[in-house]
Amino acid sequence: MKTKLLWWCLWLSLLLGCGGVEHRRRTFPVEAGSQPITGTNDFGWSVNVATAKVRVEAVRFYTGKVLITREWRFDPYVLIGGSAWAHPGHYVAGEALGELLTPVDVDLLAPAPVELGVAQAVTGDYGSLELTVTGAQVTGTATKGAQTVTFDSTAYSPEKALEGVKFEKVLRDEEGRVHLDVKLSTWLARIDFATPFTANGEAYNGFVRGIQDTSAYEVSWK
Amino acid sequence: MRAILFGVMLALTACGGGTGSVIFTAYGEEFIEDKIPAEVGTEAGFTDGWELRFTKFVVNLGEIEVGDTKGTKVASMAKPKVFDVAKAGPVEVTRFANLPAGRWDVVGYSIAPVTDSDTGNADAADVTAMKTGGLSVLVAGSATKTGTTKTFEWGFTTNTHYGECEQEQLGKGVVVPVGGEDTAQLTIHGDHLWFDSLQSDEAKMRFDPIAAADTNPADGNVTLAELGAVMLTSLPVTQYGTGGASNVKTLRDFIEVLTRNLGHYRGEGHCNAMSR
Repeated sequence: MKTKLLWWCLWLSLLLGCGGVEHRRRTFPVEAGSQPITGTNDFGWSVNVATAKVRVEAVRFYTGKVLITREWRFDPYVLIGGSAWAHPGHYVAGEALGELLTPVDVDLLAPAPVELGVAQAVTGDYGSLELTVTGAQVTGTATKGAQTVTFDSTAYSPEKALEGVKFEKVLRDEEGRVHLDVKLSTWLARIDFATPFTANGEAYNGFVRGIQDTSAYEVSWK
Repeated sequence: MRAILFGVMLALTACGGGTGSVIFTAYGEEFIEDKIPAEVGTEAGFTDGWELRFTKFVVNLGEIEVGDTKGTKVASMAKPKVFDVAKAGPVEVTRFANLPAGRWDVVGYSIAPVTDSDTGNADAADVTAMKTGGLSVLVAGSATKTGTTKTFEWGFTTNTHYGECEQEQLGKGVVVPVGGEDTAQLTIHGDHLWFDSLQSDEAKMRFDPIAAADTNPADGNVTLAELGAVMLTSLPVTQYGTGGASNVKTLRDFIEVLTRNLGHYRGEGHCNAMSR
């Protein structure tokens, strides 16, 4: 409902020329890949990923700046409030600027980025994006000391899309593409591999929280 | 009414020249002064049925500044002061006189650890506790639900600067009227300590997980150490989402981050919250 309303506002502003910001229609490709895991996770496990797959149903782009996208503890002057008028509990996606609605299964370990499709969009000041992920699975082994376990994370079935993934870009007519990197280390950071991947168990919970962590997605314009 | 007053003030300042005053006050609103009730219908409250009362809500307010976006600074608070916004308010924090009239669109303040602060309206014992612990925020109170009561007294050392404060109806900063005074309220939102999301616009106030943390010992008092023992992965995945704050692992981490968002401006107005 919110998305529909935003799109109505966008197209109305395009038609009527109101709102003060001029938008021109444009398209751009969107692709996805992953960043390899380095070091150990929160529980001291060293992880070797054998397969990593994700199903992306949709990507939507908005003007709203992201609330919390960076680590707050180690940076001396980190923005945690996002835009000047937002704070926890008050994330505002803002104006819709583009969308890609073609579902794609992505092999995150593919040797080259996987194209998700071409986004139908407009020019504007991009601040964030929303990812609709309907499935994710990672398999591999995790080692801690003398202990090595084989894991197979169960499929991820979210209740809602991932809002507030940072993508700040003043986009006009330049050529390029949006590149989305999934940080597998963030996906797997919260998992104690000593516990089994049972439904509603802590390992699964940690996996889901990793996927829902918006800092697990690094979005850039290339 | 506020908008009319604002218009009158703006008209006065449009005449050019002259000076005026700005008074900054602190206020904890009903949620801090009275209670946060259980959620009923569309009325804000704890979604899990708790009712909470603060006995103290002590903050170290400082670095109040007035200026403009060009970098001009016309007023600056000399020394922080410690206030207990659980006491009846609003209470005056500082007053700047003889400021050049006009709009000053950059207003900021901080809630930072106590160093050499003066005492505002806080009790001497609380000021001492703030100084001893190097605290920026000290809250205490109790929550009740169906005959069960949990108490808490937590001190935080988070250091947050609230800049570029703005209120939707009144605009950015303050307007200094010629020969008059503007009042700017630093509003502390006590309900934000209990949100169950750092990002979602559907965040709920919860106390069940906090009450359940009272295990070591299970004495009716929830400590920060007990909150630190609760991994977020032990809570339902639909609750306590951390957005992009990867380092928030425990319930204690979560509430510490929420203390960075207590500060508001003129009621529901917002500032750009920066952690330091």
